[in-house]
Amino acid sequence: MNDTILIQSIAVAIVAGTPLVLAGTGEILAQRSGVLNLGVEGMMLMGAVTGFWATTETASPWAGLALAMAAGALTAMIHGVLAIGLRANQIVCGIGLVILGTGASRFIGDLGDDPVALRPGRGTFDPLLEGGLADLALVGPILFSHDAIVYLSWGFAAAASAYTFRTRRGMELRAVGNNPAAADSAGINVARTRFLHVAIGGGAAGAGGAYMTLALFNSWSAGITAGAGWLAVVLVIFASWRPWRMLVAAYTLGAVSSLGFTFQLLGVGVPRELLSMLPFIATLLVLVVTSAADSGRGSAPSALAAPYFRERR
Amino acid sequence: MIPRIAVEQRVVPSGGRRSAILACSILVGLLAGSLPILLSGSNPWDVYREIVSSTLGSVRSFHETLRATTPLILTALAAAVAFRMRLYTIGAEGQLYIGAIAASGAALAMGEGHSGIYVVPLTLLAGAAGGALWALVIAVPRAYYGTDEVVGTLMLNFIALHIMNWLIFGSVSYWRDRQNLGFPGGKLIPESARLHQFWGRADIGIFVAVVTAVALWLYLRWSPRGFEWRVIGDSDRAAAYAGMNVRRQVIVGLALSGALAGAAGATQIASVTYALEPRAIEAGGLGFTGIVVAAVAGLNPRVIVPAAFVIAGITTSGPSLSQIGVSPATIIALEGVLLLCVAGGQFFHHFTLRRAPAAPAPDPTPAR
Repeated sequence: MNDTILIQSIAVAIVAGTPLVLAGTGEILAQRSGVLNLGVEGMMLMGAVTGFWATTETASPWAGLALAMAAGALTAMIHGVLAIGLRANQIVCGIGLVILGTGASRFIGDLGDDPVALRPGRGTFDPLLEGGLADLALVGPILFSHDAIVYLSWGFAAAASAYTFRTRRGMELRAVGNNPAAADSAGINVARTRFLHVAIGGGAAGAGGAYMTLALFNSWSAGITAGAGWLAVVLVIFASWRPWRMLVAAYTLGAVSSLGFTFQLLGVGVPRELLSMLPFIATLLVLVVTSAADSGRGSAPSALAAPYFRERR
Repeated sequence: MIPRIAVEQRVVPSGGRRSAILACSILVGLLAGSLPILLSGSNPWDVYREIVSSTLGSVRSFHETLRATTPLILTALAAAVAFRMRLYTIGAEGQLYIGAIAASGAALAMGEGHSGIYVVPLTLLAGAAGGALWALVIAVPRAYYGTDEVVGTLMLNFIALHIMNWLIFGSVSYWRDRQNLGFPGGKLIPESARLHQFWGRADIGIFVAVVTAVALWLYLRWSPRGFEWRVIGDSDRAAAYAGMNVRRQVIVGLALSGALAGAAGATQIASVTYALEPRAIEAGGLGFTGIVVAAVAGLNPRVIVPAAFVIAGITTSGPSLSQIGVSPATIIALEGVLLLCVAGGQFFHHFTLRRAPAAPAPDPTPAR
């Protein structure tokens, strides 16, 4: 009986961690290019509302996912224009993006006579495999019982990892994030590389938001992401800018938060709030220890959050 | 043919130019904010007029705006102090929670039967002390190891939120009202710790905030430490060469920023909720709105006071907007647009766009 609860909570952790894997991996790509986009929460909310709207219109969650990615990427492009084009302060801009996304998504959700906020769901992502593998003990619920997006998020993390470390483009991406002046001298278009990866990050955040409205909740309400976008930013540090580790980081976080409920079910007397605090304390410690060891930002891209002025090269 | 635009660097932005750029950015923001309102079938002019009339239209609404201005002045000062030193802390949220916990704890500990003359200041100081201590958790590693203060404070926000929730929802703590068997809530603080109300619903919090802003402006403008902070903000290397103790100033600056945010949390306890109510204290998003105010005010403590009043007016006009059929979310989006436009406008402090004299001949050598 207790085994079942444990296995179920691992399976739940994977589902709950999927928006974080998507948004966090996208944010890794953006940060690898040297752009800190704190606006993940805003981009996720835009994706969440537009994705749910499109799905209630077309009854196709895939159409919802596509529109959500477009909405997330468009929101990210605001950050791109300001932070890359106008060299604006990336921290201030990112916070502006969160506030804008929070307001604009709620605004969209309240529009019209048949507002999105009151609509029932009209389509969700079903588990990919019925019976067979999914019925296996232990690994069945954990590995084979999920919907397509969970597997796509694994593919995305794997592809992002291979792209960053195994391709020429990925090397250019890392060069732009570590030393834009040198990358520029080597003929890499710094602004274009940064803009592209910020947009990809936005698309991934939009997909993460849509996964919440389409798969986790099957409804839209204002502020539905409830801080998941900020968590994604935190997880980038925890994953030390490596897409593969984002899977571990996101599921650990998902497990710790679902562990609280499991403990309650089992009657273990650890308060849920204190348990939820642990990942943040751990990340803070990682941050302090790595900065003490490397005297600086640890494994972060060297030019992170620094605008690039070609004229000052 | 598209005219070629060249980017030209400016040496020193003048004060007048700064103000003009700020005004233009805000105007662009209001115009950009009008677009979605128009698209949703409402008149932006009606919306802006409703915001003004719900802020200044009646004595009651004016008082409500004043009460909402108090914490915004304090969190905006918190952001301004740190941002001027190029310490981009986003920790005002968490420092505000810890300030609220400390202030309500101090007020409960003092109990009934004392004079407000010293209970109120002690409550506010306890909040400031709580916020400053919470800021030190990141300020010390930032000063000694260069730990990234942006994500560090983000983490501390989450930890502070969980602590506050745990005190009320997860435990039978000193702060929790044990008589109340319904939805968990905080114990009410004694009457003597509440901010004195006058003129109906306005309270003395606004004076505390304005005096703090003026004092901070004088301090940053005229004290040696204010000068050191300006130098550190321009270049911490130059400051170190000049023999300034950059580490200590970073710690003091971040602690002062935390104290201001903590004091904002204390005013929420002493003027709005009268108890540690995590949901209500979290709902305002006062830490982040403070960044909007600070940016709109160009990080100038003097300008923060009127800017906080305007933004408070915008935030409190939500309910009356829904009466004229406009989503209250419009104001949140508008704040975001304003912040983005002001941030983008800073580009023109340091650069101007000029039409390039003529299109240069195509470069015969291959592109670099």
